[in-house]
Amino acid sequence: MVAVQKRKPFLACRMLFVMFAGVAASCSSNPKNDITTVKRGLTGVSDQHSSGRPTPMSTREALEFMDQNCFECHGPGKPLAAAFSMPAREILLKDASWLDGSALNQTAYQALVHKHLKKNDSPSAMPPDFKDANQAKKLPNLIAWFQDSLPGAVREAEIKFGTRPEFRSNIEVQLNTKCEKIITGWDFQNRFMSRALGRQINPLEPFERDLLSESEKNAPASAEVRKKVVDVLLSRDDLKKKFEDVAVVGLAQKIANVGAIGVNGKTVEPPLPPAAVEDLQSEFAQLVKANYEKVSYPQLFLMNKVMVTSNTAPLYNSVAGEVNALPQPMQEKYRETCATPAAGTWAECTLSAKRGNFFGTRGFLVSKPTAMFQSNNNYGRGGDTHQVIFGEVLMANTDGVSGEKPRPIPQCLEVTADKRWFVKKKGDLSSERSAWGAIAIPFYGRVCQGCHLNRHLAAASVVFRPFGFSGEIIFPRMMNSANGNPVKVYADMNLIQPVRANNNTPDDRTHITHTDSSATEFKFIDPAFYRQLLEELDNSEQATCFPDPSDPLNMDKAKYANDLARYADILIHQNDTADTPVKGVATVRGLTRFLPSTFANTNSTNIEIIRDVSAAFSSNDGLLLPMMKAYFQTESFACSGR
Amino acid sequence: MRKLLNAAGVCALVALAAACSKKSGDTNVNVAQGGSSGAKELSKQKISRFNYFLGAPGFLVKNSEILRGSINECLQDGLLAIKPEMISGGGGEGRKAILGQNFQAAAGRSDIIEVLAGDLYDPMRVSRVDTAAGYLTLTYMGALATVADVVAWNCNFNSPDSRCDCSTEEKAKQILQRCIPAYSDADVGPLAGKFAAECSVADVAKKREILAAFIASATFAELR
Repeated sequence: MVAVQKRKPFLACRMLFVMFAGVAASCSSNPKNDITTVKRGLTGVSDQHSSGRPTPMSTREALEFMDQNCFECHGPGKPLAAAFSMPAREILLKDASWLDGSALNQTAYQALVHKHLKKNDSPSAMPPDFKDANQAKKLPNLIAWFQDSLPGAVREAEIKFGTRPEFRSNIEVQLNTKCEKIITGWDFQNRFMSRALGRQINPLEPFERDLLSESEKNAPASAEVRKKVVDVLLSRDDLKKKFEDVAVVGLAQKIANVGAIGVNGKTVEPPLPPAAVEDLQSEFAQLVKANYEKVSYPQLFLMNKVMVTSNTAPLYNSVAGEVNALPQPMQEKYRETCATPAAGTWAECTLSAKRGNFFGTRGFLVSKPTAMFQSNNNYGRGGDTHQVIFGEVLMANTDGVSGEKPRPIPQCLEVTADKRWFVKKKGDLSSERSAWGAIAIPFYGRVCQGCHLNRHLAAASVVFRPFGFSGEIIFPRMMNSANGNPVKVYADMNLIQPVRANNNTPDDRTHITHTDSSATEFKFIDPAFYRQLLEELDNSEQATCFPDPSDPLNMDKAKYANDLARYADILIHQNDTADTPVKGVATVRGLTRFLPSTFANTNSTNIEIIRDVSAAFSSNDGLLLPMMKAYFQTESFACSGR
Repeated sequence: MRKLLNAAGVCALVALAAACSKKSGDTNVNVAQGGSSGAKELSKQKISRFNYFLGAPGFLVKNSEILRGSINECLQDGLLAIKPEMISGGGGEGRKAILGQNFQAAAGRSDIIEVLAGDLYDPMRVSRVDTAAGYLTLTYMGALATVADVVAWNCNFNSPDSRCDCSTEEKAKQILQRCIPAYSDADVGPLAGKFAAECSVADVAKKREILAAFIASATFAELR
């Protein structure tokens, strides 16, 4: 046993993802930036608010406030840009579209509310310091501006963090979305055909040429014209087929992140046959194409099906010897047999319960090659899951500030034995150490908790555990075998550091485990420890949990999971209420970010797209086609870029 | 009020427009906001109106899929094949070869765009954080020039039903209309005459050059 030094407060947070949870870093104020005009933006109408409600700032005042009080920490290249990023000043001060497009605007709003209420809660109160006392007095006016100008963000914050009587934004808001210049009907038809059908109009083809009247062609594309173009073109079988091949597949390829699957010289390790890698790139697109008109968009991620070819079917066949060696109740959970289809064809196959859904497919897993044996510890896969569902990119920050003293860890998360830390200096057990394990990182600091608790990366680390770097299933018994032990295989490939055979004596092995910073005892990691981690999932349906965000320490409100099926189900349905007409609404948020980035040149979305796609989701049983049509019919898609 | 709160619960950003009332004929929507936990009910509801100006998506560069579709519509199918005689050292035209020896492995393939897809923004190989291409790059222009050379090389200008022929004003106009449908007749008119004048040469190699230059142009590459 070796004594462990207590870690110092505010140490860098290592081997983890960091998100906006709030940090008490000091933001120094900036000199006032002179802006003469704000050409675009949101205009609050202050004289229409009920008495007693703070007068909302103007957009210009709000942007200046954020510039002066937030930019120094969250601007480009600033210390907390990874947690919540603000653009360069010229963009920041131009209009509020950058904030509208930010996936974290609801967290920013809540941080301001906490600051005003002097509430020590998550996300941490922001800003830590004001430029001057007068600025502090203006905070309620900024909050009122948020309520008027970014009502969606406010509503989302209230759903996520609960409402506050002091800031209940119970005003009815009427949004008028407006594009300054809409392209003509003809250009709209051409734009839609290009981006959704993969080719331009053929003006010599009468059907395409005469779809719109001359006046419709030459006038700005009205809502009726946009609907007519989209509906009429997609009513033709040949063009609908083209739409599937170009737009539906293109969207699915982006969601599946196929660019990260072993292309352009990138390797897949452990190696997979090149033909299999190529087919894995189309795996999800094939599933979407086959089901998008009969299965709701959220269900596409939850269905226990995968599309396979003759090249990929063998990747979904369990190792019979390993399955049969499992305790009887476990065997069915691990067993999977995908029949091999004829060469060049795709066939549907049922996933094992262990894989569960899209997030357990080889395509998804191999797009983010990680494993429990390395420092990333499947956090990347958790981050990708979050991005697929919510469209929010969790930014890796393995060496940034860790924030204030961590909040208490929900008891239900502490059931895992994954409390790994490692020492930075090889063999020196008194050297600086960094958190690694699922429950070690949240002990590190509040910033770390922002992702690892609030965005459920700790839970992700647990449920993704049974999968190796290229998505292969790791059976518990493998950890005891001399041949095929993944620890040895990966170490031989230099994917991970070697792991000792037993935990008898300290040497140059650097992985250690203990509970938290106050612990004085630890042990080295060995294969038996990894087997213990794998068996946690098989032995308990409460291997990990999702604490209720409004009451995280109340275990009665927590939801439990021990596999990907349950994990994804909880995430995808987390915004549903009893009154939600179509379940799985959380996925709409992700879709409304993937649509513009697939079909326009922006990664951000806006309230019009969110509103119209959301409406299509609710009134069409969550089917993808009506949501895509709704997007193509927005003013945003028809807005002139020049 | 209870109904309003329920509606609010499913009516804003992520929480969706199920209960949002969208007025017909415009893009207005009521986003009723409120909360159901521990909030005092206000007796009066106020309405705040504001305009929300949408950012424009901007013009795009044609990705490899759109480029392929455009060439097929603009000219005709089957012009993307890589033939051995196009390749330096591959025989045929000798010094007139349009592809370097690094294309030897691609000889016989039917689609030059597929070979160069990575340089032309391949939407089938995107990552989750990519956006559609919003600007031209030298890499793109270089790849487009290669595609254009292959297309023009494959054109049969002498066939009566060839859609490559640009030697008369009428045919040049048709090519411009098919290739750049965003152009109005007023745009196409003056261009067609100049295009035809350049194109009406007897030398097939020169004809190919002119057609290739048009296909390789930024105008052809971008979408409005």
